[in-house]
Amino acid sequence: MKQFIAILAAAIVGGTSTFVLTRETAPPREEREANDSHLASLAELRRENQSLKARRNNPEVITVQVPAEAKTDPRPDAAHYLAQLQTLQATDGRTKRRAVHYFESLVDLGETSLPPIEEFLAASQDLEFNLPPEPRPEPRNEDEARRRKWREGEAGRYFKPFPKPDNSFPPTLRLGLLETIAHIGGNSAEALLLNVLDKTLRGVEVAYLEIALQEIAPDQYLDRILAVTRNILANPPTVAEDASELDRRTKGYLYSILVKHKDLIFVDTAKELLITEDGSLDGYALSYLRQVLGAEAMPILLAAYKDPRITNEFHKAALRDAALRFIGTSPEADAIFHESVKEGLAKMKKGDMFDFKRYEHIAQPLGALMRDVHEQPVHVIVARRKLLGDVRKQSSDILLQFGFTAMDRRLGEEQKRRQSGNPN
Amino acid sequence: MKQVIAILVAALVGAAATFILKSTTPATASHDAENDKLKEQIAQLRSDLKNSDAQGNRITTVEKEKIITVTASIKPEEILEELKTVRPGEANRQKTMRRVIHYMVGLTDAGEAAFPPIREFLLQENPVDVEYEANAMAFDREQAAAAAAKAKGEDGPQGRISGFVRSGFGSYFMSRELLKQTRQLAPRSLRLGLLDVVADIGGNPAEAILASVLAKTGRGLEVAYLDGLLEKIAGDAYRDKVLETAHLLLTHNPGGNAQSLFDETSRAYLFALLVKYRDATFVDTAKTQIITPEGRVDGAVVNYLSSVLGEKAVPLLYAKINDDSLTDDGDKMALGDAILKHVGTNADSDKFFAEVVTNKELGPIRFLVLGHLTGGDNSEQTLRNRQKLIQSIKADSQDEGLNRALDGSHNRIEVMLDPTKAGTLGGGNGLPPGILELFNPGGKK
Repeated sequence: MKQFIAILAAAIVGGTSTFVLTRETAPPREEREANDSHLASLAELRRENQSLKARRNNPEVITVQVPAEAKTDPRPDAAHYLAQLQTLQATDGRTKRRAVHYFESLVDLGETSLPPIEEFLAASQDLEFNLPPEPRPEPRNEDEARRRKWREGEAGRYFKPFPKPDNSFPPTLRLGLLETIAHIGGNSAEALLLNVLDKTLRGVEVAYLEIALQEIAPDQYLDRILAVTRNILANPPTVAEDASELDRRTKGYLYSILVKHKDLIFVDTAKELLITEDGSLDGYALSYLRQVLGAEAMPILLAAYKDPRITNEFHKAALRDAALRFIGTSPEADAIFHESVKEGLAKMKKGDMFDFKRYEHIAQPLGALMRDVHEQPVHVIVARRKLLGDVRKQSSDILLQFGFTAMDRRLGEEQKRRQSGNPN
Repeated sequence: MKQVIAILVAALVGAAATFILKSTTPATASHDAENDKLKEQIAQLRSDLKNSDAQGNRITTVEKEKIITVTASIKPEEILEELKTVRPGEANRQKTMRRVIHYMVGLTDAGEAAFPPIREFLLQENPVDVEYEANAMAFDREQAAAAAAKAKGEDGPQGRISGFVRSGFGSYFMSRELLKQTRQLAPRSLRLGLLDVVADIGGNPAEAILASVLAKTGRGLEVAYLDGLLEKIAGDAYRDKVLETAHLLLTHNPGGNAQSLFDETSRAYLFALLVKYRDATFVDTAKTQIITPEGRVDGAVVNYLSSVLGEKAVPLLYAKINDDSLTDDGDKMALGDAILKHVGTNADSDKFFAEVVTNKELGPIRFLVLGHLTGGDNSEQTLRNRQKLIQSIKADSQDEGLNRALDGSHNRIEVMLDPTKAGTLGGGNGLPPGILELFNPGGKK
């Protein structure tokens, strides 16, 4: 037993000695300090990282003012003015003045303006300088809605003058640049305008190009302009419903060019376009035919007037108006006059005698008798007085008779003035 | 011995076991290793930090450099010199006016540097101007033609524009509309354009220049223009100064036969200002100026008295219209319109209305006065009084045309009083709806 206790004690002493002898020593002070420093850095970096993550959505801008510096800037170039033009907004009251300033600045720079202008035009972008028109109030009743639809439709355009370029201020950036190019002038400008002419499908641009090219090279490119005009009219681009008023009147601008130059080449095509497949009347085509052909348009007008596809009363009224301009000179027009008087008087009789609106049924032919009377030759005035006499026999209405007397007196005065050779 | 050996062996075994046991536990990291590990963590955190920054937490430092740019553009003095030479003509008007606008905006862009030459130009002792407005230029041509005719000993025809503005009718109606004019794309004259430039540049120096011009100008148009500009800048701070200037010019400038439209219309602008500010302190002087030294009616005075005094002006104006020395119909129309504003409330006005509308010598023009029955004061009492006036005129009238027209006006008044009667009484303008258009559509008015 004693021996066992001795052996156990020896083992314990051996193990303890070994543990003590192999135990690690403490790290030196420098190392401890370095370690502490690293841990501090670590803690700081962790805090900073957390903070940054928390502020991730709140960017901070530090503005540093540095001392003022004076330097000389070269005069702005064409690209600068083009950029400025693209920042203009229709809602700003200064826009038009500033636009004029930038356009004229481009003109002042001369031909160096042309490359950036060409680049801009090639990008097919545009900017309107005018505010869109205020939305109109809803029609008060069905009748007003119907009349508005007609007035604003294709046929209603007959009763409005053709749209024309505004020579005091261009309504869009591209149109202003076309004018600018023309004002710069020279061969490069001419070439650029022709380039745009060949590519554009916008009637308003052709109208501006016509003015610009005629200004810098009178009549030199007129055939080309008219050819482009006819081509677009014969193959018109689709105009979106939300397109600007300028683009919705594309055909008007183009027909206006044809009327201006009394172009007869398009007459045959216009005849085909006058009545569409669905029976609608093209008011612009009607105006064009009447204005370039004069009384010679009567066969076309008569054929259209009797065309069974024309069933809409407003479309008929437009055709009648065109034809009635030639009363006193054309037997066909006189026939339409008599027909419309007869129809009007019949409708009048159906109406209430106290309803003055019934006179509207006869207003169109009677109005035609007095139209442009101060410009008519004596024989036309005499013929119109005869037509008036024929109508007088057809009605016993007191107010109408009163009106007929007043009209005949006016026509008589005009006839007398013409016969006396007095221009006033 | 065996026992000693056993004790020694046991001690060795214990020591060996302890060593082995200690050596089999994970080794404690050395301090270098720990430092390395910490360094790695720091590097990792720094990387995270950088990443965090790159992902959106940008600290943007904008170095806002204040650069004084000296653009190599034309000096304001040169622009102004250029402007003085630009004259729009008939053929090049649009093109020329664009140059004018271009130069004006150029001056505006020059900022306060443009003030000295503009100030010098506007305040020079003998002011000069370049007119751009088409009517002003046409007026100039008319004056030149009249002067040429006079040199030949001829009277020459009265020009369209000068005839209008010098008539009682023209000056009366013009005076009512003058201050409604708004700024157009192109200025009306060089001086007015420069006033706009100064106002557009803005600031205290601009206000000072405009106030200086107000104190010095002799043109009613400029006083009115400056009134508008200064009102936008400083509210009614210059109201008294404007009125003081207006009184001064109206007292010392009787008007008549000016060579420029802007001078010819001076008094109309000044009286329009008095009307705007409802200034009644000039009434006594104005009463003496109704008839000009040439024996014509000054419509601007009539409008001023009528606007400021209201119905109280009627006896004075009614006395003037009955003055036999007045022969011009246009002059009488100005007085007549001012008198007829009070039909239904003033006995002289009612009397005058009846005189005009029953006077067949005037022809159809007499029916124009019917408009006064439905315009102006539309209170129920006034409208009822007008209906009574209609009935009294009709009671003595055998004129069918007139009676029909009066019936129409009566109906129109009835509809105004009770809109539900519109369906049964019609438009009530004295004639069937559209009847005028019916007999002359598309014709000359």
